[in-house]
Amino acid sequence: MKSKKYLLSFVFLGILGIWLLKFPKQSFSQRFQSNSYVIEWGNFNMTGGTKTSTNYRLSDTVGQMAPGESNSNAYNLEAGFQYIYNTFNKFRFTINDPDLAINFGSLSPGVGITSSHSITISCPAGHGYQIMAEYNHPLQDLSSGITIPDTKCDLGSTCTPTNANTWITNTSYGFGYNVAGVGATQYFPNITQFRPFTNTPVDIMTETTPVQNHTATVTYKVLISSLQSAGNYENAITFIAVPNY
Amino acid sequence: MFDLTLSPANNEIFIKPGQNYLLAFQITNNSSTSLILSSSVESWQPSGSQGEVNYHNTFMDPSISFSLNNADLKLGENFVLHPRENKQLVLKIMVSPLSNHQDYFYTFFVHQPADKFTGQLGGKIGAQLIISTQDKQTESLVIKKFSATPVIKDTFIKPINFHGYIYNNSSQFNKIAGKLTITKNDLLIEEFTLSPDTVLGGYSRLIRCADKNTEIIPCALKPPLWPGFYQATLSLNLPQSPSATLNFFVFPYLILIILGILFGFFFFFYRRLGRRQNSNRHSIGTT
Repeated sequence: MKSKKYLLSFVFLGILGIWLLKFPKQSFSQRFQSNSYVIEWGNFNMTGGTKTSTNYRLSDTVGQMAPGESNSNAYNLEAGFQYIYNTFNKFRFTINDPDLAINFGSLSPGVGITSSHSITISCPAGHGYQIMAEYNHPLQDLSSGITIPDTKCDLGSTCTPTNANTWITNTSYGFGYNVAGVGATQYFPNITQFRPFTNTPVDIMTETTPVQNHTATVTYKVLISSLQSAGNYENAITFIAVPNY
Repeated sequence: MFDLTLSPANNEIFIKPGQNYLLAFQITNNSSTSLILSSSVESWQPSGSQGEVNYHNTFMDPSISFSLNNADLKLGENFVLHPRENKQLVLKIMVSPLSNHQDYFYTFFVHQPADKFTGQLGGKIGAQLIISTQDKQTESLVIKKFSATPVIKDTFIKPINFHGYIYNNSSQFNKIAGKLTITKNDLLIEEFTLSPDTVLGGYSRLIRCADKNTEIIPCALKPPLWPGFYQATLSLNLPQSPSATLNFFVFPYLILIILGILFGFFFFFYRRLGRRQNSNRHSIGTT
């Protein structure tokens, strides 16, 4: 009888606990105060705030001292409360490679070589972004015109410029790439999946919401057969970042 | 290293045929190295329903032409941007008097070309231009495929997500303005403002919700939800007030299933226990 009571209490408390955890927690905004003072305004001015109608939303700050933008060679100062909105329509794209060059060094037949760098994107507000990639031509020895073929990935798991697939065996030769990071998983589900480049822009990383400093790692892989002629093989790859409209 | 900021990133412009328009872009080199850059304009086609674009098989309509209004620079000419330096590029858009009355889609690009002889990586950053040479048309937006997932809406398990498309029946781009309202027994449960996304003429756009600070938030009701009938209404702020409504039922299915299974087990064991005791009594009686 006693154990039944315990069991019932346990089940009841369990259900109550799950119910309470599911409710969102209330949060409080930050404010600054000392023993003598409380500052509740973001800055000292006459008035400021947001005014809304059905179709418009106006944010204003009236009477603030010395607002404006000033800059030197190394710094940009944006003084004024309204500058918090200034990132609204800025779009930033970074290719994090100091030399903007990928050097695989000397290649050995049957040994896959990889090299990587990261890319970073920010579109603080708006509609998301698209990052695309294209190349000018396959890896090519410019003196002889001989190329290292674009990868087709492993036998039985063929990849194309728009569809990544597994490339892990050392008997499937070519040049390809993988992108790993938020926004890229829909194109490259994991780091063993590769695609060949093509000479038209193809999506490699996209998101449809505003993002801040989202980074992905681009990994290039080259694997040559013993029949590949010796030479200096090269091409040019372009990454294109555009905001969604 | 390629590290550029370009603003404004999205631009929607009305220009009458025969008129010109000046648009100033701010380009900033955030990297610690000087970059040799160039600018260009390319046309795009809409792709998908979330503002995506593609540059395949596009062509530059000759009735719109572009140039830079900077005194020292032409479109396509190289310029150097030093570390932390920013530069204003003023794009001049010229619409021919003989231009068709339609919408045009372009991207203004600033790029560091990939050098084919050194095998360099190239970077290209763009800002979108949507240009209408038409007179302002009457807004004609239609709601399509308004739905809520998952199919079975449980009190506890998953949020209820709302989906819908806004189709632009006109030939001119337009902005979504409207709200998603969820009620239960005529009581307001949640109201979302629709994100003012652009819908191109003849295309659809997936709805997104925004909070009062215009931050994108999921169009979703989070669990737990009281069991009962709910009504979701998607409405647009247009003179003809287009709207779509859907009704759904929320119930604690999972708890009910678990309780049902537990009850089934207890019932099954209780029956077995009862039978065993009966057979024991029966065997005691016969001896």
